[in-house]
This record gives sequence, structure tokens and C-alpha cells, in this order.
Amino acid sequence: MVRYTKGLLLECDPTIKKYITKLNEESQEKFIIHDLGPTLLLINPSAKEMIQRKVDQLHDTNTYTKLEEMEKKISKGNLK
Amino acid sequence: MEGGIIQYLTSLNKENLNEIYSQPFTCKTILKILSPLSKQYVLQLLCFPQNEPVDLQSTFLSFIKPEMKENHQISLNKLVELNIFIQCYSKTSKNCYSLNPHFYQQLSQLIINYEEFVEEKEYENQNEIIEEVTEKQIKSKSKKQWEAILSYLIDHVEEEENKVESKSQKKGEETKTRKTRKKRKKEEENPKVKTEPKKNRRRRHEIKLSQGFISLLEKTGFLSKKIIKKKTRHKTTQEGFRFLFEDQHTQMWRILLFYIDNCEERGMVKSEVISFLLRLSFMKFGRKYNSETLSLTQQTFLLDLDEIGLVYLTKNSQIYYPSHITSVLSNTAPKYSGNGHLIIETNFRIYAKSPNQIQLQLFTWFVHSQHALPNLASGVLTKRSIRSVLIKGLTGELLLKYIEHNTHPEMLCKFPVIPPTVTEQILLWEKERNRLSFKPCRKYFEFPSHDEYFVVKKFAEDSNFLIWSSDHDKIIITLESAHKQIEKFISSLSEKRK
Repeated sequence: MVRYTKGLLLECDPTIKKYITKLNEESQEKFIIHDLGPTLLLINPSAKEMIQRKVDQLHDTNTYTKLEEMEKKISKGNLK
Repeated sequence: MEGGIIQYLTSLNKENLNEIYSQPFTCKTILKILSPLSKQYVLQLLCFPQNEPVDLQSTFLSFIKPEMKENHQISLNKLVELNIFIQCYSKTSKNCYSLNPHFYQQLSQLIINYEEFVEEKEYENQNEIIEEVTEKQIKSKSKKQWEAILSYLIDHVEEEENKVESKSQKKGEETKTRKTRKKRKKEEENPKVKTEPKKNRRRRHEIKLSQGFISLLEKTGFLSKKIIKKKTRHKTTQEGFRFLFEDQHTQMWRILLFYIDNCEERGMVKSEVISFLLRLSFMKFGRKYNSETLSLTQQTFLLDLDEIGLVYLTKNSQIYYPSHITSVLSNTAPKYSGNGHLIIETNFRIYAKSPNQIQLQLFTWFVHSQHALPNLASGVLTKRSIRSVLIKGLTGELLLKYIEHNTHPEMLCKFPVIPPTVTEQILLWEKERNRLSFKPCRKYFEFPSHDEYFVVKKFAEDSNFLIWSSDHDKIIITLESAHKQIEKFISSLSEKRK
């Protein structure tokens, strides 16, 4: 008998895919069902929000605005 | 003809539509908002005797320019969809239509007894002393009521924001939080400092939303409910967050249409609600009308309209005044209000010149704010600030539309209104965030034989459903939308095997 399960097809660029596979290794519940190629992954639908959130966080840590840095310095009193 | 009531009416079934068309005001409004060509057709058919099928192809196509034929088909389809035109089949031609009899009757009545229908009668009773309400009072009340709804949604966004912030705080900043904690303790000790923000909150909650309305917001999906320790807690959803950035015309219609959809549950008659709503748009702002002649449904509806700020109800609910927003109802497209508050420069600096708390609150969400004066706030659009609203559910397009709709009149001399650098940058930031795309799909496995696997694979391939397959493990992955067809195919295969 043929069986089937629901899944979510995740399409992304290779760099993000690398990050997601790293997330999968770190997390206790593995959410990647199949690796379908350099830009495709089959994942568990329940992991969607977690992935989105993690990727957002990654972006946030890599966001740099000069203005915010300046303000931080001002609030610390380093800038004269 | 997009949006609003027309779009809603097309989703109704014929019986409901006929009921609606038995009211003079709905027919009048619909005629008002139809596209020019459709209007023309309706009025032409009105000249023919009732229920007589008219061959449109021969009657109308002769005076339509060949390049506008497409338009002809669009308006015709719309009229049929609205059940204003009823297709009939005669011996000579297939393209015969007649006007909906209800619609025909109301409209011809309207033309004959024009004066009776032009204006809703004003409430007149000189024996009683009625409390007089000025236009200013009506305006300010309807504004307050509407803002109460928006600030209810706004207040429940903030909670989420705090959580996200506390999560994203890094280790290095922990010392900072400790400091603020100390500060908070100090504030608690010093009651004077503490009362300040509370006061601010209370001012926004001047008007409390009724339980019924809150449950309507839940049904629209703008609010999600959670029960924690026997207390219900509301949270504004992403849909609700997007709603806040829409223009008032769209907002009003979305709420009203959800209301109409849910009114039958509360024992109200749908067609009466719709017709009363459309009738309102013909009443004049600042005049008083008697509510005692209305039906029970309409009277309960009136109470709810009072809550949204569409009408002003006097204390004994006997008299109502339509507010200035009612004219929005029969307008089809939102117009630029002409009193926006945003000024945006090519260097991403943005200023909001407004004393309005709600507008300023939205402003602080998508802008890295730097200065806040009583009626002016300024800031810079940064990647972080834009990203924070995108994460909450806003789309770049909607944000740009919001900014464009609310630009200060001074900005209008420029074209395009928003500097292209800003537009593009916002869209780029959005694109960068949408690097992930999710598509629901199905995985099929444990095929009994290689033959069956290949047959199914070929079927999926031929119908363009196949995403991925592994010949070694006999796994097929297809789009979710194809599931029914593939399931059918597989079951037919297994039957054959038997």
C-alpha cells in the first residue's frame, strides 16, 4: 500500500540552506525530511515558524546601521 | 468598481440579491456605483417593457467602438454576476437579456416618483424638545469611536513587541537591563513617576469597546484570543496589523462586510442590514432622522453603527444623525484625503506632522524615531525599523501605499511622491527577508513495486505535479494541490491489480 505524508517544500538560496541544515543538526527534533538539492528541502510543516524566526534573527544580527551605532555611543557617553 | 459593496454583492446568491433589489435605496446606490457602460445598459433596458428579452448583441454592439468590445464583455459579465441582467434564451438569439424584475420595478418607480425618493425625510416634531447636536459634536464623536477601535488593536500589538525585544536582547546588554530594572524599582517607589504612562493609556481608552464588537474583531481574524489563568487575553494578529495600515475606506468596508456576514447569527436580517447601510449614504450629514420607524434589525444595527462612529445616536436612541463618514459608503474608490502628515526625504529622513496619537504610534513602528515633539515626530527609515514591521506581518507594498496616502500636501508637487530611492530600498529589504519560500506538498512512499512507482511517477511528471523523486527509495514528492488526482490515480491502479 502506498503511504503519504504532508510536508512543506522550502525553497531558498544555498547559503540560507546551509544555515537551516545547521539548525536541524542543533535542534533536538529533526525537521528536515529530505534534502532535495542545492536549493530545495522537504521539511516538517510544524517547523515553518521556527525557521522563519531563526532566519529573521540571523538577519537582525547581521544588520548594521551607522545611525544606531552612533546613538549607542552617544548614550554611553563615548562620543564627544 | 473594485472593492466595497459591488464585490460583496457578487458573492451573494440570487435569492439574497433579489431581496436586496426590492429596496429602492440599494437599487439607487448600485446604479450610482456601476461603471459608466453598465449604467448605460441598465438604463437602456429600462426603456423596454418589463420581462421582455432584449438581444444585446444587435442592440448595443452597433454603437460600441470595436476597440472597446472588451469593455462591453466585462460590464455585461458584471451585470449578470450581480443578477441585474438575467440571461434568457429565445429562438432567434442566445444573447438575450432582461432586467431583473425587482430591480426594474424599483428603478422605474424611482424615475416616476423622483421627488419622493430623492431625500430621506427629516425627523420633524416640534412639540418635543430634542437635544440639538452640532456637526462638530458628531464629527468628533465619530472620530473618537473609530479611533477607539484602532487603538484597541494597537494596544494589543505592543505586548507582542515587548516579548520579541526581550528575546532578541543579547548577552552584552544584560547589564543594561539590570540597570533598567533598578530604574523601574525606583520608579515603583516613586509613585509620581509611575502614574505618568498610565495616564496616557487611560486617555486612549476613553471609550470602551463593547464585548460584541471585540468578538466581531476576533471573527475577522484581527484579534486572536488566548485564555491564561481564566483571563482572556487578546493579541493582534498579522492580519490585524496589516489592517491598521490600510486607508479608512478599506478599513470601514472590511469591518462592515464582516459584520454583514455574521449578522444572521445574531438574528438579524441580512438584506435589511445591507439596505439600511446603503440608505444611510443618501442621508445628509448634520440632519436628524427618526429611528422609531425602523425595523428591529435596523435598530440593533443602528446601535452598532453608533459604536463604529457611522451614526450619532441620541441618548434615548430615538433620533440618529448620520456622520460625515457615511459618504464613504457609496464612493467606490478611496480618494487622497489631502491632509496627510508625512514628509519624506531622499536621505530616508521622515517627519510626521500630526498630533494624532494613532498616526504617531504607527509612525514609531516603521521609523527609527529620533525626536518627538507634541505635534511633530521625526526619524529615519532604517533597515531595522522596516524589518520590524515586516516581521509583524506588513508587506512593503502596503507600507508604501500607506506612506503615499498620508503624505503631506507639500509633498504632492513632486513626482513620484515617495523618492524612488526610498521605494526601492524598502522593497529590497522586503525581498531580502523573503528568501525563503514555503509550498505545501506531499510525499508518497512505500510503493509495492517498482512498476507502480514508475507509472505514478510518469503520471505526475506528465501533469506537471512532480517536484522530486528518488528511483532508489521509491519516493515521489508532488504539490499539495495535486493530491486528490494522484490519490485517485493510485487507487485506480490498486483496483486494477486486484
